[in-house]
Amino acid sequence: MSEAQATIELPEGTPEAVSHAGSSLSRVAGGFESAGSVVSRASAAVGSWEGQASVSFQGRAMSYGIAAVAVEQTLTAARGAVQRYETALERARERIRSLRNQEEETLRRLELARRRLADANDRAAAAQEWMTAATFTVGLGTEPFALAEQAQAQGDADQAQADARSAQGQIERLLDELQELRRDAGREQTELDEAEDRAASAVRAAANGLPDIELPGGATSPSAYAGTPFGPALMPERMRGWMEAGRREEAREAREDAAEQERVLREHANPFSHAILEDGTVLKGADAEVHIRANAKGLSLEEAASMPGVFGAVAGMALGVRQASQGKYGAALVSFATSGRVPVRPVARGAVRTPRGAPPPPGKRFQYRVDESGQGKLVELDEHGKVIDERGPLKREELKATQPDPAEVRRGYETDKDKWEGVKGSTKTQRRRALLDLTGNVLDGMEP
Amino acid sequence: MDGLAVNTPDLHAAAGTLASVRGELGCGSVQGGGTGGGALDGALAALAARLDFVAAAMDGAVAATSHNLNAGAETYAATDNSQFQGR
Repeated sequence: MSEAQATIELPEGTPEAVSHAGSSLSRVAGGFESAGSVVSRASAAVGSWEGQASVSFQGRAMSYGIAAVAVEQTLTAARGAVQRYETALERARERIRSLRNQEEETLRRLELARRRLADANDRAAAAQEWMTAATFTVGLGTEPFALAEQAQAQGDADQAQADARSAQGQIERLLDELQELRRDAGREQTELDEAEDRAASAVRAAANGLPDIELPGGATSPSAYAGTPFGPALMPERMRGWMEAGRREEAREAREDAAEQERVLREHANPFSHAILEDGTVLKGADAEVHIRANAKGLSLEEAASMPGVFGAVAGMALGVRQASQGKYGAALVSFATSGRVPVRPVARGAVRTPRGAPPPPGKRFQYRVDESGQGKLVELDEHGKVIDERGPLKREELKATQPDPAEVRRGYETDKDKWEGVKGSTKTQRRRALLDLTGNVLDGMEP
Repeated sequence: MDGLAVNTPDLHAAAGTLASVRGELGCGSVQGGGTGGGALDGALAALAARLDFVAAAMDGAVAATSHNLNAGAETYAATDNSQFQGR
């Protein structure tokens, strides 16, 4: 639990945006009501149009009149759901804002209580020293007021200890209060999430209640030839909304996919948080993994790919994705693949390959160092540049000791496999499996 | 034509209304955005897509009626025996 800063955050979304969505639904409903009336009467308007296509057209136009009624009902239901959510969002934001204010106030009081405790402890220590000195003086019998001083020091020490106990008690109460506030905020957020899910379900259910609609035709209508070699393409225009929705969904999945890959690599594959390249580039996650291991070998990709075993397979994979451009991992491999031989210049023993001025990564800092023999190792530095941990040569056994068993990584993946695959397409699944294999291979393939 | 008949101005007005509806559905706030964690945004976007399809169908019907009314005004009468092709 963070006791230094406020962590309660206002929920995502604003009542204004929800209100605008509701108003927009109202305007759309009005438009459908007005146009639907015209459309349903349109079938009787063209007396001069006779024949089979005109009959089909009449049927369609009549069905649109019915659809307009269904649309009205749908929009009424959706608007109701949106308005209920708007009320819930307003209430939750107000409540969470209040909790946030209380949290900040509690943190402020906590800080004061901690200062009081520190002050009381200081006073207690000073009184203790004074008391010790006074006891010594009493023992010598040289000071007439030594006993009085000793009593005074004892009194001060008692008072300081009482203050410290009081401050400690207040700190504990405030911590409990803080925890309670954050629990309340979490509950509010959960309730709001549920309210949003309910609203979304209601909107989806309302949308599912819409009747199936077919586009109108008719030999003499502009859309009659659409989709044939004689007419304009109908689908891109008509299906604009669907296509847009599809694109949004695809983009969302791509974001989730990238986040999932990054998560797996961060949690399972790479024991080092960062690597700094010669040009000062700071790499993270999979990129760092690939570069560190490639540098450790000092091999060209072609040489590596010709080697037997898992390492050769990994290098072959990198060659195979030379043209690939999808995903961060792919990009890293392409960088690895197109650079050919990974440069490992002999440098003076102990010299740091990271150029001066390279931006340090956040948190702990790692540097990759290469000695004259081309042996690489990662060292961990503190904020002053002092080496606080030296991992030694990047050898397979040492790495394996710092990482989970690849089989375990796979099992972790399998755990949420159903959930993952339930919402993802086969392409994503294939990519994920490839990533998993690659992760396992990289772990196994430290030594050619 | 009786009092309920649709004339060309009615059709033009309906076409304008439908264009406005489709504009609202395409880029208006009915698409959601900033309503919360994303669930409602997604549902609203899906609803907008379905409604847009209905509006597109109605728009097509208006256009077809308008076209044939114009043809009738030019004393053009067609006996149409072609198969229904639209979709």
